[in-house]
Amino acid sequence: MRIERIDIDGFGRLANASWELPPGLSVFLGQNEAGKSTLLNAVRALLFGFESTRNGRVWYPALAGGRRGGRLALLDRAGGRWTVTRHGDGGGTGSLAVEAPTGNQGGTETLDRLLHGADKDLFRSIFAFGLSELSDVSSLSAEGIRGRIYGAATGLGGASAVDLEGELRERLEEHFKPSGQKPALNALFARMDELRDRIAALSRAPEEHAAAHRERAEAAAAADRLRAEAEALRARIVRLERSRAAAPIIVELTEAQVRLAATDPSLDRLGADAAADAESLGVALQAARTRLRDADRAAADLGVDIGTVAVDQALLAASSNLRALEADRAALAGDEGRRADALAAIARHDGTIGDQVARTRMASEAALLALDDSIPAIDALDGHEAAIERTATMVTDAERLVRSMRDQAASRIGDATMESPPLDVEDAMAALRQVAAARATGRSSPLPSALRQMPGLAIAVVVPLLTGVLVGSAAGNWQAGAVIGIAAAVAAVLLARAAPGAVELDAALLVRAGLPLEPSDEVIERRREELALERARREHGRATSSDLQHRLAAAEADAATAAADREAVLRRWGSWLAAAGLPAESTPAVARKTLAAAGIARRAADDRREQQAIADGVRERATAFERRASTLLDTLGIAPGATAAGRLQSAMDRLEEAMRADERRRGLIAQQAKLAAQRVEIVAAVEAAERELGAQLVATGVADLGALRSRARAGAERRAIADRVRELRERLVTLAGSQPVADELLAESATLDLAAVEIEHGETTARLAAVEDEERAVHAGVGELTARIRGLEASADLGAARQELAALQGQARALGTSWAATALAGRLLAETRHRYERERQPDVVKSAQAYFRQITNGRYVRIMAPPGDASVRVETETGEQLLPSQLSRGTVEQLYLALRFGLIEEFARHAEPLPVVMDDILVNFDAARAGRAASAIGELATTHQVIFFTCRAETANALDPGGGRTRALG
Amino acid sequence: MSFPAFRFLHAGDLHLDSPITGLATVAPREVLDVLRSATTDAWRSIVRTAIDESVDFVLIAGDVFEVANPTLLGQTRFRDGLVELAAHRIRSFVVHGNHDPMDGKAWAASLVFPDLVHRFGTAAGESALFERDGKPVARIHGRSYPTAAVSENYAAGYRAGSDGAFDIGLLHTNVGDRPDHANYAPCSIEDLRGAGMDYWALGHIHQPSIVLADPPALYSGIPQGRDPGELGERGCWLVEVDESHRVAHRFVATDHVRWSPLTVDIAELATDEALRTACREAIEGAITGGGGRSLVIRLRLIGRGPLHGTLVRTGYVDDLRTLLNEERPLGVPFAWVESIADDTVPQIDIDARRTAQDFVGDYLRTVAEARRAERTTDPEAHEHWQRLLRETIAPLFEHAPRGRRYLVSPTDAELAGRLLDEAESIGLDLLVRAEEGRD
Repeated sequence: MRIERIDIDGFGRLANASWELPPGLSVFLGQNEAGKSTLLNAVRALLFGFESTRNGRVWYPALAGGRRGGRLALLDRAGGRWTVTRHGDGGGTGSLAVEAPTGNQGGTETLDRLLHGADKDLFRSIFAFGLSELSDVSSLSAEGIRGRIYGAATGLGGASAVDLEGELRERLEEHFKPSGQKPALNALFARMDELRDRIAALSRAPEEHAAAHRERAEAAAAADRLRAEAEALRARIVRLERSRAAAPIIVELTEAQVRLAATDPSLDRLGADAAADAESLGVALQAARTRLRDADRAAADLGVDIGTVAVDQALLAASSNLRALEADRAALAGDEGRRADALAAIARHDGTIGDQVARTRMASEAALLALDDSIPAIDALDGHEAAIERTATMVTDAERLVRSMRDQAASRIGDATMESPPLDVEDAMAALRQVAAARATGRSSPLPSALRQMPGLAIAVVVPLLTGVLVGSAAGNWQAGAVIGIAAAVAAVLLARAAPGAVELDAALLVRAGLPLEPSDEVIERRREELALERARREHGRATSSDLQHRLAAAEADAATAAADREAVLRRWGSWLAAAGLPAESTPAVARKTLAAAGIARRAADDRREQQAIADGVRERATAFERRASTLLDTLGIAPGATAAGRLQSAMDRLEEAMRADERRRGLIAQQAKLAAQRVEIVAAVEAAERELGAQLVATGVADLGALRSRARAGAERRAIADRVRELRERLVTLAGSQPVADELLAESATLDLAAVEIEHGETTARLAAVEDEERAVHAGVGELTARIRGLEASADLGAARQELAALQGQARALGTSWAATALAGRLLAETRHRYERERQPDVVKSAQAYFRQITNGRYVRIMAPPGDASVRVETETGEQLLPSQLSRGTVEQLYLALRFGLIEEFARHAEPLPVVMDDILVNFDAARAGRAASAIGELATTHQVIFFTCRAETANALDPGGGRTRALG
Repeated sequence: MSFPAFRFLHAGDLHLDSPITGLATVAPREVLDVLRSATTDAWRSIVRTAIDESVDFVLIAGDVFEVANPTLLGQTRFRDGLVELAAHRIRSFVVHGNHDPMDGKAWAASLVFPDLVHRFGTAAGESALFERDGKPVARIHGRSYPTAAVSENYAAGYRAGSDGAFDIGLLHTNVGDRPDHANYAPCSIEDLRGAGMDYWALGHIHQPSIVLADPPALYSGIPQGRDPGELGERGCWLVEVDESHRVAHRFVATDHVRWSPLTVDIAELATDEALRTACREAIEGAITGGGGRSLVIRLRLIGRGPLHGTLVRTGYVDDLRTLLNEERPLGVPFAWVESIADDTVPQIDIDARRTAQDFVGDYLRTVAEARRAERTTDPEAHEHWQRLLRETIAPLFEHAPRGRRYLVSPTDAELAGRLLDEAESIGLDLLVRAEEGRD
């Protein structure tokens, strides 16, 4: 590859400058400050970018104007033209555009590929160098330089093995750095350290759990102790408060007991109710005596009352008889009603019987009542009546039959008259036969021609005939219609015959036969059937009239027989009427009514008798009552009166009065007896009260009730004191809670110091409050420990930390493995490259050795060790091996120039040869060596483009003796 | 002869409130919360199952807690569960294992257990009788670990009773000296056969399994898988014993969170969207098969395909994981993509590249040489590479104090094996990408 053209838009003091460069050598001759170094650096910048700004100063700013940068036109080995355009104000890549021979646009990668991985350092060290770089030994030994030199031969395109190793290094550093925090593994390790510490802290949870359990148990025990102490203190406080509360009770109790002791114990025997009992006895005694007096007064009053009551003993003695009479009287009052009813019934029956006699034709009631209306009599009557009706019916039927037969006979005679025929059936049939015979003998009959000649005659016969038949048919009697039709036809024929030009006899024959003119066989046949039917009908009528005559005669005979039977029956009926006592000429119906009236009258007569008997009985009992009443009332001295009943009522009133007086007297007597019994009881009560009161007084040892009252009061006072003592003791027990404690309180009361009790109460209460506070605190502690235990049991922190640590360990392991594989890959790549370098190195040294020998004119014949290696040595033609430090400056520069040439050729063996740019590098060479170096450069220029900057004309001449490739700069 | 029928629950290795380990990425708070309570939730499920199934008693075959990581919450939850069982008149029988030995401080002495709980002591020959209506039904033989490391064969000391009760051996043990488990209270199949037990309720091995068919000897396993290695359903055994002492057992899953490794092959996937769809489908399938549980999903991308170049881009896989996780809310249950491992390979002929005389070939050969050095007979080469590899990882695993504290330095085998493979892949991706001029 060579540079075909350089265009500088602006770079340092260069602006809008262009240079066309030929293949091979180009020499730029210029004085100092002419811009040689500027142009050299411009080429570097256009190929590899701008140097970075240092200390705020821009590297080669466009001092002469123009846009900083420019372009290079490059020709590759195949003749393809590439254009590299780069501009930029600061350091770095700037804006780069690479145009390929194909016209495609590219950037850095395209340029790297074009330069075969040569980078800025490689270019500066090997391909574009000045005097300062020439003497820089380290630049040749740099790993990157060597790697790229050899890398050009690796076939890795734009990349070199060094690049790949660098990439792997970057990857490694992304994973891990010995120091630092950002790489993934470093960050993981840091987090894992944290987790380890956290896990260590959390792992103490079981011990903490156990410790918390122990603490809680201890705290619970302490709480129990405190609770017990508090209970004891509370009990003591209760005891003290009891003592304090019991003190006044005990004082009063003591005082009451003293007062009690001062009273008479014998009063206890008196009993609480002794005085009251005695008072009650006195009161009861007084009351009994009062009641006795009252009873005696009442008895006296009763005696007086009994004496004033008068009683009618006679009346009382007859009371049963009087009551019987009264009962009879009451019964008779009822009988009088029955008697009136009976009399009314008798009157009714009399009317009934009279009506029945009047309704019949009987002469008297007796005659009526004498009639036999029994069932046999009625049956006989029914038999007669049936016979009478039967014979009457028979006579009537026979007579009706005779009339009917006579009517029929008369009717037949009429019909026969009506049937006297205008049509002689036999004649018509004879005429029909003649017509039929004539038709049978042939068709020579003159009738047709005659009929043809007389169509009016035919019409005159047929039309009336048909009209008659139609009229008859419409009236339902076609035979009559036919007769009418025939008659009309006959009339028409007669009229026709009377008329001029009338029909001949043959036509009369047809009329006789009842046929139309020119009848068809079918018409003739139908006429024959009609005439036969008419003949049969007429014969049937004749036979019926004969039968009717016979049946009329028989009917008339039957009618005569029936009339005779009827006469006989009527005679027997008359006989029966006479025998039964019924009026003669009575019809069976009348006889039946008469017998029915007789039955009604008989039943009325029977009941009338019974009613009469009832009325008679009542009358008899009334008469007897009157008699007995008069006797008794008279005996009793009841004043006479209008009626016995009235007297009896008076007696009954007096009886009632006597009974009431008797009742009252009896009551008074009963009261008197009861009062007497009460008095006995009252007297006994008085006596008992007197005895009891006396006994009470004796028992209490007092003489009288007043003394008893006094003693009772003393006893009551003693009991009141005793009650108070008892009450106080009970209060004390209640206060103490039990009898033993009460006894203790009583026992200690003697020595009880209430002031000391108060002090102790205060102290104990204060202590209790303190103990309760402490107990609460301990309980709170137990609660906290329980919460702590639960918290520890439920804590997922340890598991979570372990899980996270395990996860991080897994990631670290994976990253570590990846890191190790990457590191190994890098190391193996480097190892491969080193081997490659070692294998290629002999060619480089060999080539450099040739250049070195040429420049030194054979003074040095061999170069040993890798280029740039600190241990590089040279061997003189005498076999002496020297280190660079043992060589002159010029010789060292020649050595490194030769090594560069070796490397340039090695690079070119595998890649596009790059242009070589040198900036006055021969200044330290002696003339001879400079000349030989110029020759070597010339040789190099046969395979590479060489651009040489110099300020020395002799150098330019040495390089380009003809001057055709030299141009002035500046 | 007819005996009373009964049923019980056999659980063990509860490891209550111990963390879920092995997460390769940062879990959201919602996920962490569920994971943290997963073991205690599993215990709740055991208790709920016992109550719902109306069992007569529950057996706990050790390792209720971890002495190394005891938490009071876990113990409280355990006690609460026992109290709940007791409230339903369900008895509990507990032995202690290597993680919760009797001399440990895992058990807070201050926690009081219900009367219906029997915790076996450390003496041999202890048994507890389960009775019904005053008649013996089952005799549970048990022995707790006095210390974490018990080398004595406990099973050999178990002897069946003679009262006709159903004999159950409750033991925390490593049957058959399984090499991948701590060999505590080791015993053999013959020991189990010879003790005369009718059922062995075993604990210690976290994978549920049937050790022996006759007499039945079962490991209940851990009721909640706690790391990516404890895959699949976890729970306890519901055991029914009929009148003839015939045993029927049914596994009841109790895990609340399940590890779900998924694999997606990118061979046929050409676009980002196709990749996301394939991942999404794999996740949906896992959710469907998860039985309503929360899932911690480890997605592994495999295969050779055009997307490999995209996948190796820095941050792409992380972004993919983020996108997949953002597609569904993190409720409960959740399906959280914990990590995505990119095990895809570039679309290059690796074998050809190993022999190519270029830088990539040099690199692959260098890696191969380093890998070979692990088993080379050349002590110098072995030493050289061992030192080089160790030096490379030393800044993190040896020099950094916190690296030493929190990371386990890879073994030589890991270094020369898995890590070198991964390193090879990383370097190869870089080189190929550089070759292709990709980012």
